[in-house]
Amino acid sequence: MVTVPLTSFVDSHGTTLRLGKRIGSGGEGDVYELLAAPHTTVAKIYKKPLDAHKQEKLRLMARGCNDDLEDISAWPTDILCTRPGGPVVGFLMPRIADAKPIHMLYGPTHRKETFPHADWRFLVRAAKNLAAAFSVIHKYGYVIGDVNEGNILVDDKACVRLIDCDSFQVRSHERLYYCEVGVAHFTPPELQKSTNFRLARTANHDNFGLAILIFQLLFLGRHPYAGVYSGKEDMPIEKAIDEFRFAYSRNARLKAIAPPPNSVGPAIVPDRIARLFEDAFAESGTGNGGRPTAEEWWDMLDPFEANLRRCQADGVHYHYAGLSSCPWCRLEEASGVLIFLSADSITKIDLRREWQKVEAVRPPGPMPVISPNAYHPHPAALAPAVERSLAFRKVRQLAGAVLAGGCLLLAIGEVIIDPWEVLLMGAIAIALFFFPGKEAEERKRRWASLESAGYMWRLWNRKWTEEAGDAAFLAQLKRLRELKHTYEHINRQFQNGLTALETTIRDRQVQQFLNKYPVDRTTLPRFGTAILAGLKAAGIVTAADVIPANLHRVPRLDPTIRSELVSWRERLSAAFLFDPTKGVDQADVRALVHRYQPQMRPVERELLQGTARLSRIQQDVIKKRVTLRQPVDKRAQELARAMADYRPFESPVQEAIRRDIEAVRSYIFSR
Amino acid sequence: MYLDQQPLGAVTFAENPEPRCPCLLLLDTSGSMAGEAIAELNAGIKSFYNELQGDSLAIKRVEVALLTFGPVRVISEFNTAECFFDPQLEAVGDTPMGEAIRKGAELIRARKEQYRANGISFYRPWIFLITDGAPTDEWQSAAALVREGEASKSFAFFAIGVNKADMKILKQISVREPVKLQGLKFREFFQWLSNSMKSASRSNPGDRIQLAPPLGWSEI
Repeated sequence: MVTVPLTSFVDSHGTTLRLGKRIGSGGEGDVYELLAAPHTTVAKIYKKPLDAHKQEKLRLMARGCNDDLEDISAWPTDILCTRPGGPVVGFLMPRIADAKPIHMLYGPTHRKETFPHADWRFLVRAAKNLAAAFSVIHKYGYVIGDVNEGNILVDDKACVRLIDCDSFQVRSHERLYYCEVGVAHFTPPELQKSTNFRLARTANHDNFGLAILIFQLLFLGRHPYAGVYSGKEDMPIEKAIDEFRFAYSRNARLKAIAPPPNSVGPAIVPDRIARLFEDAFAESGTGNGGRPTAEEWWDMLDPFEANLRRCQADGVHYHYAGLSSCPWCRLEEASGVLIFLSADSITKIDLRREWQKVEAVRPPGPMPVISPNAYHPHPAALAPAVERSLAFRKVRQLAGAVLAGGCLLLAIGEVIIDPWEVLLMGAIAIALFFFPGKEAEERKRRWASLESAGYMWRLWNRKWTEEAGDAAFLAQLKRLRELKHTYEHINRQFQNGLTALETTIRDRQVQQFLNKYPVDRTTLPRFGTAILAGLKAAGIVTAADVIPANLHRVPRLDPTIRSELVSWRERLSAAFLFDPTKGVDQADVRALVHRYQPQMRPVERELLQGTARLSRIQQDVIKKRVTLRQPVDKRAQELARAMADYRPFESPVQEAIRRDIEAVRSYIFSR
Repeated sequence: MYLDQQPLGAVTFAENPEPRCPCLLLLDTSGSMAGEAIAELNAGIKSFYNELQGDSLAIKRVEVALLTFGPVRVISEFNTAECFFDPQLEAVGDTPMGEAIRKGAELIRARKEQYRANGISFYRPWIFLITDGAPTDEWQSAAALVREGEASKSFAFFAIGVNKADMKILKQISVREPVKLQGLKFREFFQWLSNSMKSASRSNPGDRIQLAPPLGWSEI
């Protein structure tokens, strides 16, 4: 005989309740919709008969149910029996729809898929709501006991719901109804060694699990006890818990453990919250009431929410306002992982607006010219003695030049053939030409000041060109143009992908529409059964099948029928109305987003930073043009003066020789 | 869709810091497996991945590596089931079981090293050896490796014999009693394995290995 599962049960008031379809199944029992209220209430029916103790526990829980508990958990609202006064076989509880296990929120991979819009504010809010839920349970004297990643659910508003409440620990006067299960990763050190959980558990035990979960929510799913252990042996999490090796602790070094690479920890939250983690995971936490309570967590997290700041470089990054820089930018930079996603667009910026910002930055224009040539000062007056000496020098040099020239002519005409005479006359000529007179000192002095003025000018002129010129600005603008181009290219590819999806959607909708029109029910007159059979044999059943490939397969098809079929299909297609709201499968869109967003990310980041940089460069240039103008101008004038001062001493020949000597000298020294 | 190459390693650990539950499959692809056996094995592996993918915790925690022997090839390094891999194995060559086990032990060692360096907690790795023959190479040193690994709890080694597998030698290699596959019930075996992995991946890690009795696929 086949046992038909019972579908009607009796609650504690003796009312008969009928169950609808089964929506879940677990090791202990199945969960059904309540026929009368399928959206709000479900029933758990155990697979095996319950012992008296467990029945009593459920009765107590149902009796203890109140609005607070019902708000945050699947609390048993009433017991179910097969007959009035019979044994308890199940219970009613609020239905919790559209919520996901908390591990799908704190783990970055799953979060990006199931909570694509969740940023860090969302995670902080979920942590706060988690604390609130724990606090309600503890307020009424219950203990969760089996805190784990699977029996806490979070919905898309970051609201937290506890499930599997029938395993909670219940205390009634002198009796204790144990929670006999637990998951090691959330079990406090003082219970790690216990082989079974038939013991009195306290809120302080729950608070260990609470601290772990808050840690995982805030710090991207990292378990506080999973670190890089420097010892030789394996260090599984439960062992680390047992030995108080909190990897992010201030004292972690003493415990030979360190945070993993590419992780964030309590350093990104205020000290007062970091301290709560220290307290929760320290040896001192094991004493009763040693760990921060759910309420204490709430009291810290609530004001913290007001202390979050949006990152300037990346709009989906939110972080503690007390930090000097965005931890997510740093982590994304270091790890290459995209930590927070926007779900529906590949870009977090509006290119058009960003580009307007770029264009709003007025180019500083070409560098204003400052040149010594713009000044024409009179040379400083010479002392009379120097002036005389200078005038005499000209005569002397003329004499020397004449002597040298004459000597040369005589030598060529072979009048003088004694080399000694040539040498002697040459020496006299050189002496006459170069012999320093009284003016030498003044010349040297003016030459030195010309040199130093020249040197200073070159120095300042270079600074002026570099800092007041627009080369850096233009280079940055060019870089931004390239980035804009790359951005548009990636965006175009993404849009093409979307369009492709939409086109196939349209095609699919057309297909579905045409499929609703079977050929044998057309009002077309000439379609006898023979023709229909022929069409069917060729695979033409509905209007959707009327395609050339199929029509070719119909033997001896009358061309008029053929054209009638084709125009029938065309008429139907024309009547088809595309429903864009039925749109594209979101999973496909997400896949596209996930493909292009990582490419887009570095581009848009550099664009944002580059725009800021461009206006910084512009500001800087404008400022430098003001502050540098005066000192540079001064150097130009000084050089102009030094050049003018030296002009009386200038002798083209002498200068040329001096320059050659200078060149040789600098060549030798530079070697 | 995900065509972009993303380096494995520290990056994926940052995105998915869940504790890992490594499982290494040492698969005999010697010539004798050709035909139905290898087809069933392929189908079994595929369903194994599918099962794991359907479980939101297992997909983040269970890491599978595939190593075939005849000749020894690492088909897939340790990866979570997200990186689905349809191996389409072919049966050719001999049965260098010894080399396969040595290579496998090395894979496990290297992976554990990565876990440690990246602060990723892990469960004791499982190695499953599936063969239908006898080793054609030196296997005594491999057997010693297995004994050593079991003694130091660095992994748990299970041997599954198919058809005419030499169960006597398997018994000498594996510390645990080798199990004989019923016919070619690879699918049932992988169903059982994925269930075991799923429950292991959410268990209290510890040392005990919680395997359901090998019902429905073994000759017991």
